[in-house]
Amino acid sequence: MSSFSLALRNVRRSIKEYGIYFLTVSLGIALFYVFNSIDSQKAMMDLSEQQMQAISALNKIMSYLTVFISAIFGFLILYANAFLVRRRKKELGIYMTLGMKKGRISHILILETTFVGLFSLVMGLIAGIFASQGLSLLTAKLFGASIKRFSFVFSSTAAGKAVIYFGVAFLVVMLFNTVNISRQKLLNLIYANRKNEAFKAPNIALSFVLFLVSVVLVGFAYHIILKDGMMNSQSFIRAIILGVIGSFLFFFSLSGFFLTVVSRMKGIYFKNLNLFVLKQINSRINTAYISMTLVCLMLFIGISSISVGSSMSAANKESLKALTPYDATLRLGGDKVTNTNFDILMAMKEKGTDISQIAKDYVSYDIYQAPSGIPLSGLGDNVKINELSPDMMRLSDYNALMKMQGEPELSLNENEFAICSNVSMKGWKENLTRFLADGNSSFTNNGMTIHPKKGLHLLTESTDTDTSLGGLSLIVPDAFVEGCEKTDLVLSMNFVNPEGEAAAGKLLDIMTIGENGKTNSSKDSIYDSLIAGEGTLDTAYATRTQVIETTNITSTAIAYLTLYVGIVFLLTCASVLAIAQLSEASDNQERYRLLSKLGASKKQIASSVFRQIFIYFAIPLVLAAAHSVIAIKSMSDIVSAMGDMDVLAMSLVTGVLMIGIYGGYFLITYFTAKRMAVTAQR
Amino acid sequence: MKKILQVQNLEKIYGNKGNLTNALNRVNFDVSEGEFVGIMGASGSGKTTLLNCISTIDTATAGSISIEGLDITALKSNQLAEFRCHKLGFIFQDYNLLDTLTAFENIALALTISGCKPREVEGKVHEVSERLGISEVLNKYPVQMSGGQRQRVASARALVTDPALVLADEPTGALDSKSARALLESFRTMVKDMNSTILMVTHDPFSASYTDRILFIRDGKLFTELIRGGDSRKAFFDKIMEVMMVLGGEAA
Repeated sequence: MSSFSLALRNVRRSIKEYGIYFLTVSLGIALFYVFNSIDSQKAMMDLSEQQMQAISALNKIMSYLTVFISAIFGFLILYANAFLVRRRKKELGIYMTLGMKKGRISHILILETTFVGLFSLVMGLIAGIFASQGLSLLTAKLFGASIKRFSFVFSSTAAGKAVIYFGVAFLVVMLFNTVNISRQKLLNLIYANRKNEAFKAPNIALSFVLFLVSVVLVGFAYHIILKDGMMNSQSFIRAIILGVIGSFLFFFSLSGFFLTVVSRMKGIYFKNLNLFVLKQINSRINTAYISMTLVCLMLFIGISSISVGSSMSAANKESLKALTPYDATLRLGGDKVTNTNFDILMAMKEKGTDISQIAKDYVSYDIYQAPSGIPLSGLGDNVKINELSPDMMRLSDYNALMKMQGEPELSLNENEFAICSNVSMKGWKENLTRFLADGNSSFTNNGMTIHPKKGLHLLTESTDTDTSLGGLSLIVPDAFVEGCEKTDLVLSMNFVNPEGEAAAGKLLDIMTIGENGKTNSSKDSIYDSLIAGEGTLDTAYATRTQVIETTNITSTAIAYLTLYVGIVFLLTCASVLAIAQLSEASDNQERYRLLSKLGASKKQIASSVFRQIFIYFAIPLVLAAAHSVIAIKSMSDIVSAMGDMDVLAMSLVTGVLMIGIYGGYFLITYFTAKRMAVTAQR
Repeated sequence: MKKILQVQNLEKIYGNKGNLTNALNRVNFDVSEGEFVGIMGASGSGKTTLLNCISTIDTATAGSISIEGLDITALKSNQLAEFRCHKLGFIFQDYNLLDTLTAFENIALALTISGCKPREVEGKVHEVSERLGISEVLNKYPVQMSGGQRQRVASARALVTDPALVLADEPTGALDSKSARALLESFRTMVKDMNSTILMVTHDPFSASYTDRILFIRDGKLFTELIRGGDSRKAFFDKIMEVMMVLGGEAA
């Protein structure tokens, strides 16, 4: 029989054992293709220049990420392969006793790897190509772009990459197997089945203490992260170190602890195969706790990534509208405009553009430098409110802005001020509210001292349309700004025709100066007079359309990156657990045969297999989920600064992926292990 | 005497049409309650096949095996497990203790599988352990025990469910002569004090000399039967040697 047909037959015969391996590699390749083919999806969408560039940039990030991801897959393939070879040691030993040379055995293994690799590559690519069509629709939806025409997109670059990266992984596997075989002794291969792991009796008391310590450590880590948030890097690192050590100890001691507790509950311990299951888990955890910890931590990263990613993906249109109250805001700063009596509206008019031609309503106002105030407690080391560069504006300007939005107006006495901020970061609002409630809070200018208006809380309206989506305004009586330095000139407007790009275009024509002060050929620029001469000029112009587009691009990019990493981590964890449990199940066949002789029914054995595998899958998941809930809670404060988190979408996507991938692997593992346990038993 | 085991016209044929092997050929014998019966024969004589058929691990081709009057050849797969855990006790050559369980737990496992009430478990384990003299090793793991201790733990596991029949497959095979003797003595105790019924497969005449009766099997057939009666163990041993000479002689 030729090596070729022998290898082919081996693969076909052990298709069930190769099942998990096939599945993992195929899914890996599919994911790999999908996320690397984003660039080619541009073809079917109607995209703006900005979106085109964003997709190219995203694709570039994906390709860097891919190197990291393929390293993970490489490890996974090696791990799975090691398991398969271990299971077949005896078979390989028989080949050798029959006089087959090691070279030929390696040759057979190389051929097998090639068959498996080719098969999963083809399957993975087919799945990936179909899935990527779905992703195109999702991208279009997230970008708010329309589909030009639906066409079946195939990315040869992504496919080529998948072939190369996974090809390399398979080459490494072949090399590994060849080296492994050449170093094996026939004796060890033949008696591979008999080699037992040395069993160590568990130290129950120690694990009991360690378990309590681990719970305290993890609890303390949670406490730190919930109290200080993730922005404080020192406590963040401390929480992570505590969390990792805590998780480690948790898995090291959990089974011992559990055993101590349950063995005291005789009613449960001496029922059915309970004591066998518990001892079985306890005997393995001594060697498995490191991998369990790693799986738990990776799951944690995976779940958190997917959760954050999926909540980002559905950027909330309503909240974005609240953050962009006007169609557009133009903001000019720098001494070229602030030290002169430059007036935006006047300058426009001089150049022949009347504002009323563009905007149906508008407010033009000035921003002033706020005088020094008292420190804001809780925002770092004695930060004063004027150091946060608030937009200090006159009450009349603020009221004009509110009127344009249809919001109620504000009234202040001559010695009062108000603060308005739409930033929803954790601690921010609390600190400002505390500042407003503090009787000492005051600003003094020109002999005038103003205090917070009594009974008025923090205002949360947005005062302009800005790409940063966050602002802090100090609203003061008109007379207070007398003598204060002017910092910006602002023009907020609603276009005559909000949908029409023409009005925006006109304004853009006027804005013919780049950020770096680069001149433009257009002679009609209102800045003609400003370009010449010394001094600085800062310009910022944002339309609502632009802001929404940018936000969508950012959230889509974050969503894809996190989903990619999250799913890969999830897949890795699930398959590592599956492989470990299957290898365990094959080691346990002898034990199950004995149980059967002792009279255990198939049902009892199946339920014992189920419980063992369930516990192995569930425990890292439970701890990882607990970690994730805390992390997401802490992260939501940062994320919500970019728009509210969509909790429904988050739980839905995370849930479906978890059940689909993790649950799927669990079921496959259980059914395969059950078959192993009950085969050849009457 | 109550009949515990009745084997009638038992046949076991391996292979398919073109190539048949008659592993057991019309075997008939009975075992009564409280009897210690040995089965002897050379490798390939069919003694392990016989034991496997009685222990319900293998199926007979024809004939019947009744244990306490129940024909086990007619039992269905899901009834077999039930039957095994209530009526049979097993002792294997290589002990077959679970290395992850202590001696106590290994014994208790047989009880928990059979659905014994959890609060009765401890009492039963301690009772049987005392009889077999293994109370000191109950908290040890198999790796921490000697071969003889392990085999006595295995015996305790076989006895703890109070089975109708204990099947022992070469129980002294892996033991040194001192441990083997101690184990065989405890088998006698089990028969005498607890009224257990033991069927032991062995090829060692010394072990066989501890039994009440020996069935010799050759080429799948019952060759002869040797009853100890009032003989001393030494006299019985000599008789066994004689039969073995005849057996070996005819085989050669």
